[in-house]
Amino acid sequence: MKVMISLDSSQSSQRAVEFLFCRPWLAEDEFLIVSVVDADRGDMSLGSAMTKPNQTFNAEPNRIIQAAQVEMRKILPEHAISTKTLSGPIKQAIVDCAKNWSADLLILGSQGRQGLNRLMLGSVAEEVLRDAPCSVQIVRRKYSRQEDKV
Amino acid sequence: MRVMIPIDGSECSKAAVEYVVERPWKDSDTFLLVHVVEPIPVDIGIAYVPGAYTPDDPAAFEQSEALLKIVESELRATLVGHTIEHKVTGGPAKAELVDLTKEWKADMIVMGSHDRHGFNRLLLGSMAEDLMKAAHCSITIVKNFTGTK
Repeated sequence: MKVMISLDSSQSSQRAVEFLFCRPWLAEDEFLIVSVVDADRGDMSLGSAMTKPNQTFNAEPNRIIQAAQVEMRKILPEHAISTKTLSGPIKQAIVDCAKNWSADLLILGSQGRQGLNRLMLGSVAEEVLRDAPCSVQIVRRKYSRQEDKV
Repeated sequence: MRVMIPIDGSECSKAAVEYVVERPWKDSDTFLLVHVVEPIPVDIGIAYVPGAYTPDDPAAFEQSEALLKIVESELRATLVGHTIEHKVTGGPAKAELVDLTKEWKADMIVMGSHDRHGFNRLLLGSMAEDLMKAAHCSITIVKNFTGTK
């Protein structure tokens, strides 16, 4: 099965990674870790955005996916694990990537926003679920490796 | 991990069962198959259609029980050694399922999706999406899953 994991810098993404570590996988499963470039980052100057767009925008997603890849390699040394930085509107980027890579399962964390926050910010997980070409796994609970290990 | 699998007898819920059968699980994982008998809106006369049932109709519960027993035996054949239970409840499906995730302390829901779009979605909605919003546990929505076996 081809498993795609979409990460960002949030706590919920960390939970998705933890989930991945503490669950069993088949020997033939392949993984693709992706992160979408967030063009709305507040912590950049216009100058650096114009002169070094690649570093400015891609640094954070690259760091996230590389850290996840290193950790995954330790736990799943036999599996194929690739990474990709995506750009564009978040939902579209994730859905298109799942289509192009012909993913079988897409794993996402969800912030679990409720009420006004949900209304204003929406839920990426929900939008992705609607348009995803494959199965979607939304990770909510905190999984600890020790607790779940048998 | 405690895995709850809502079953409605459709092709999509079959896909969810197939997914559970084909994916690896830990020995400690337990499974609960659920079917919710939804009340029929009596006030618009649907309950008087021959063959329809009311929520407290024991025949509906017997039928659901039989459906779940078939699925349960299917799961038992592959998931040897796991605890597998089943449960039939009555009421509005979403509320019942959300309550049950809390009551049974589910860690994960695995369910199929009809993958409706456009007018059908507007009319019938999506149980998967409703549950995703309302439940506090993780959820796997199985779509376009073609088994390897």
